Amino acid sequence: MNRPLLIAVAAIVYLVAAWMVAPGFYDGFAPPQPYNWVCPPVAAGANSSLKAASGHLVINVIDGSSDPNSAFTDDGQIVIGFLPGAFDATGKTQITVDITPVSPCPKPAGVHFATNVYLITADAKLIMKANLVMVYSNLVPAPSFVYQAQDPNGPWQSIGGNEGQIYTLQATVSQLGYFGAGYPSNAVNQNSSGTSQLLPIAVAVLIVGVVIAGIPLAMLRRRSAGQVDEEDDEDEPETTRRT
Amino acid sequence: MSAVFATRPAARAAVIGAYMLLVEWTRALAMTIPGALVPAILLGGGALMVSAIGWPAPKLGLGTSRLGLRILGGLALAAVLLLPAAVRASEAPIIPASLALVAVVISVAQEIAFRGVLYAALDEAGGAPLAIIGSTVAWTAAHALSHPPAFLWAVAAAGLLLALWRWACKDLVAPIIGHVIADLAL
Repeated sequence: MNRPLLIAVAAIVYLVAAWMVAPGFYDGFAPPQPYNWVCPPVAAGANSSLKAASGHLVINVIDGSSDPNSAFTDDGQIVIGFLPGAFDATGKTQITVDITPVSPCPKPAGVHFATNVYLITADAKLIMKANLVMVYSNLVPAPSFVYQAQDPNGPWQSIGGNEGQIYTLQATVSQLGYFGAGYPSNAVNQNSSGTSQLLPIAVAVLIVGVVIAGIPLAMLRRRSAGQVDEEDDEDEPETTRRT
Repeated sequence: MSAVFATRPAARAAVIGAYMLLVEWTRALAMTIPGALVPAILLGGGALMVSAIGWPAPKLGLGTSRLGLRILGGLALAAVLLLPAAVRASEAPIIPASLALVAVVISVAQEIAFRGVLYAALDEAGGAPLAIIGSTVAWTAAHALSHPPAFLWAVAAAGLLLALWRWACKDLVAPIIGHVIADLAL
């Protein structure tokens, strides 16, 4: 079997193998970020089998002040950290915080969520700001803001958002309720359109470029091959040599 | 030590392969530490590049002769590597732009290490078949900790394609170009 044919067979084997898994595996440093979706996007494919987890936290109240602590879901997709005395602990010895993924997924006008929406509740009023961290997946465009609402039907308000660790967005919250990270809808439309079109265009340009540039190169090589015998130089590529 | 390896190419290839697996697995584990992603990739890439010290460039498949063909081959390999993702563009993961530089570093380092140094060492130890198969197996094993098991067949197929190019064309420039473009595009 000659060398170009072997490479062609290997290319076909690769295409078949690559088609059977989600794109983006060969970069060696950023495979699809695992995320447990309530409403999986198409891109999640086979990676969407795990259910989004809920979380529960009991905060002790000592001398009338709530302890510092963090509530998080079991899958770590949302974490909220409370400072000492963050809650109005009047008459309480413990404060319970619950985090629940919201289903069905809210789809408010004007906002496109890139994460699950979570409901965070407590049996005491939050009186100090808390730090909220939401994990997102790289299978979808990264969210720009954390949104908050008191009702899943809205209104949803942006409470800002800063990149923390990779694939996380953090914000400061002053009251509990519904939280999700996402984009303004018009930003998502522009971004996803560009993302989905750029790669096919880039590959098409690559293919056309290879074909157009390959024809004169092949002609030059054929012409030079007719004039002189090639040296068997270790340094030289042998793209058209036959065995 | 170098004299021992000069007379025992198989031992040298084994040591090189073990070193690369150690570097890649350490990098994969270090990347899980919060805040350590970029440093781990850069240090891991540097550690892979160290393996090329002492190897003449032509042995690694590097050179500037027939550069047009090498570049063209790299573009063709990139097109093949990206085709499955391009057809399903809406499913492709989006890597933050801040990782572009480290993507270039790690893809160049991996090619020089696996299809350059390890391939050359295995070639001297047992010929082209061992070099192609051995470098592909090591490349796949290197991804075992950073990728879900289901992805490893595709990783292996990509490694085999690049190794076959390395063998058929005695060229590493094209695999480097193809790997860099593929990493930057996703």
